Amino acid sequence: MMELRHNPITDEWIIISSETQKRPVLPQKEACPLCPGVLEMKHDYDLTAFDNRYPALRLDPPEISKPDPAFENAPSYGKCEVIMFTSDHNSSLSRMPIGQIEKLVYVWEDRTRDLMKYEKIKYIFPFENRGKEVGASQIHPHGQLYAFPFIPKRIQSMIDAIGKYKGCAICDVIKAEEKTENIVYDGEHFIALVPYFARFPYEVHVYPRRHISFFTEMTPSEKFDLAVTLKVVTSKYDSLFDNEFPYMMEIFQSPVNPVMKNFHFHIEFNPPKRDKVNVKWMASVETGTWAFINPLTPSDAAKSLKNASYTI
Amino acid sequence: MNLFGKPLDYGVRKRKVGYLEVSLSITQKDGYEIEIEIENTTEDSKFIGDLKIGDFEPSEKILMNNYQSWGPCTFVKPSEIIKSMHELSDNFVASPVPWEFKDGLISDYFIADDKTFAGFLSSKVTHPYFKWHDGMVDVKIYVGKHLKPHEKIKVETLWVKDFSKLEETLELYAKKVANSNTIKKFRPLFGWESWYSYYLNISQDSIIGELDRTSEIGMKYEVFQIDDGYEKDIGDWLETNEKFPEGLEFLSKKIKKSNMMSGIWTAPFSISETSSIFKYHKDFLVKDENGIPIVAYENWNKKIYALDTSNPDALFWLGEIFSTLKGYGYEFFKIDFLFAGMIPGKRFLDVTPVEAYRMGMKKIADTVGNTHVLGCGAPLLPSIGYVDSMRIGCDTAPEWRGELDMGVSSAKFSIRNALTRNFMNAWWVNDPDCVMVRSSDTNLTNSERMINIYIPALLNGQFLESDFLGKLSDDDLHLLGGAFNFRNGISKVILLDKERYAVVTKKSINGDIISFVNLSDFEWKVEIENYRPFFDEKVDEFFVLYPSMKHAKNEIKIVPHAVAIIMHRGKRNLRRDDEKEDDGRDIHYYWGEEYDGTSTQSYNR
Repeated sequence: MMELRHNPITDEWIIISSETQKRPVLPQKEACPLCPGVLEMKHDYDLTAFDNRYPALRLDPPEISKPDPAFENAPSYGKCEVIMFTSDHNSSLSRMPIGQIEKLVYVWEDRTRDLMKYEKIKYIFPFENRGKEVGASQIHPHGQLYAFPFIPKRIQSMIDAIGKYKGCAICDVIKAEEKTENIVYDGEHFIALVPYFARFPYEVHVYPRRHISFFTEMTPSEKFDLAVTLKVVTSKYDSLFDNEFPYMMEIFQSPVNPVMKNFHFHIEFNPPKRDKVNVKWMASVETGTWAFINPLTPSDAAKSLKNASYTI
Repeated sequence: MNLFGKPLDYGVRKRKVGYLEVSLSITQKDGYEIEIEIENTTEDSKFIGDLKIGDFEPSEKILMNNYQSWGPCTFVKPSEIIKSMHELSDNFVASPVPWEFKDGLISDYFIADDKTFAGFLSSKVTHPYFKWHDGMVDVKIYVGKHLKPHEKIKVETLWVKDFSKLEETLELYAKKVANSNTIKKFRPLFGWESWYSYYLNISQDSIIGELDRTSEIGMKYEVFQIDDGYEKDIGDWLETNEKFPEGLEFLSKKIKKSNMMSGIWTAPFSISETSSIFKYHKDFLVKDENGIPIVAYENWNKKIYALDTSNPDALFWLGEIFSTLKGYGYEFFKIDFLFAGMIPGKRFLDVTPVEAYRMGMKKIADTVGNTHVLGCGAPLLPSIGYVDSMRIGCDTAPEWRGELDMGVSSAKFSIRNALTRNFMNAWWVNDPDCVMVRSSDTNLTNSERMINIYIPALLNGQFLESDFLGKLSDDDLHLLGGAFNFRNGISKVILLDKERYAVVTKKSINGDIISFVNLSDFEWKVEIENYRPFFDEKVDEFFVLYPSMKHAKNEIKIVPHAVAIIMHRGKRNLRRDDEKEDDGRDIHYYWGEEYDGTSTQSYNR
């Protein structure tokens, strides 16, 4: 079953996809389907982007049947891609050379440029789930990309906020946070910080200093600095509790078709860990109301992350 | 340069020198190549010592090179240092012809002044060298054996070239030397060794403790090498002392279980006065004219004698040691104090010291076969073809020690030699000695520590780390990880003067890099643009200072004892290949310009 279903109560679209249930879970290295020559890539590779074998959205979605008039549905149009960061099974953003992450930024840019050509695609969302705590099914370093035919609910709330805000909220946040101790990494073109309003313990946002909306607007120097910033943040995460730190990394670009020039590109790291052992669950309050309870003061999280060692 | 009193020109020259006839065949090959043949013209067997081929009047400042791993390779003004060199006149560590220091300065194998380079292309039979004295340089060889009546031997070929860029000439020299010798295939290794943490105080327990810690810190060491301190005595290599109750095979197996090459240190041509081998086999030793064993050097508070590697029984004994160690599973052999094998003296066979040395080296290389041999304290040219890697500087130290440039341990001069001898990477993997990433128990400043760690990485030689792994902080380990990503490149060193160097690195894991190394005690202002001829332009070019990762301005100031590492970046051009899976799904392969299947591997597990 593959289709989009509209929730009239919350005005949000839900993706129904029984295909994703079939995906394999955490195999050993010998059986890793993402290693060269095993399953997905027939030969050696540096980086790849490929259509997910178990997609929730596809460019040729199956036909749908009309539901009860009380409901609205739509074909699961869109694209779900897997993006391989490296052929090195045991690597990670935190361990990769900067140049490899830089190449990944170029791949994200290329995928954005490719997919925005489809008029029915409205939002392109690259992300990485790292660690079993956030449901990663493979340990081989990779991310994914969803090209949605609609504006997802949280993106819509960002758009609504932009409409209400005088100027650019992110530009102002950068100015305000630069006066605080919440800066985790102060790069040439990008800044990484624990925001004043962090929802998750150890949440980090990465903002470009320049008001840009897409990967495609970044200069080579900015792409390089983004790569550096991602390495620093993820390396600090791994140092924090001296283990592979799980996180959800979400990349927010402007909607496409049409584009929204006043959208400020940014990346959020939403790590589930509240300390070395315990996880902050998305429980009733967070899931039911979208109201988050952060058990860690953002400035304390920033202090820990600022002091954490990192490899550059 | 004058050869037998006449200016250098192509053709054949013959000259009677005592009871020898010396023939020079001079051809023009990107400079001049001079093939040298000597013949005993008498009816008697004659011992041939040193022989002068030619001379030249050098400029005031000269690039001089010592014959062995630890010795300096640097610019000097001979008139300023000549007096301090007299004390070396009986020191085989400094020279196989130490008596020449009585009235001169020696540069072995090659020499350069501000316009002329002269270098010998091999040292397979004789020891070739240049002797500065009284403002002149003599071109000489030391033979060190008898020639039979009318025996004729071809000795080392000399290459002379006037140059405009010394660095290019050194590279060309390296190629010519490589072509004149058989080079082993080699690749640089990343490993841990015990010397600069434990020195002689290693034990079975401490080695196992460090071995366990390699997996705890997660570094992908390829080699784990036990250094000096396990053996019963110098020369008694297969007998361990009481600190190693279960012996060497036990440790080798332990190391291999941790998926690393097991490494072991020996000094195979050295025999101490207290060893069993000295007690029972004085016939194995190099002797003087009176049959008294010659002291090659003193160390470990002992007199150390030299193994006569022309003696078949001694060679058999040597082979047994290395075949046993190999049988134990060792795959990385650091062989040290090798100069002892090349001291002049009386041997079982009437061969030159160089020939004897090479017999010993060949025996070791043949015995250990396809494993890794790291030479140390070694005569340089005679070792080519027998080692995979070679120490090319003095011992390093956890302190700067910038005063005494005489081959004694020094962080400064260890790195200086790594820079001046970088061109030797064409003959083997250069080993600039260990890096120490420790931030405690060191007298190096942070900027000195950066030099010690990052320059070996940038020069992409052997990368052996030597710390108490349990004492390394997170920051220390991250520093090591960071340095690792500057490896795998090809570096050219620009020799600005004896204290300042630029290193231009292409295709390191972190891409193209320009580094400026200031070994001096003064601040150095550098303009990057002045070095433009040494690196290519890039589209949308920018420069980033490491590790601040801020944009580098054209002019940068480098404090004393520091390195400025600048990443040279620009627009990336990824190649994209589109393919279809069998089920019709799209797959896009993206390739970086530099992708070779290994350069993107991470340094840790």
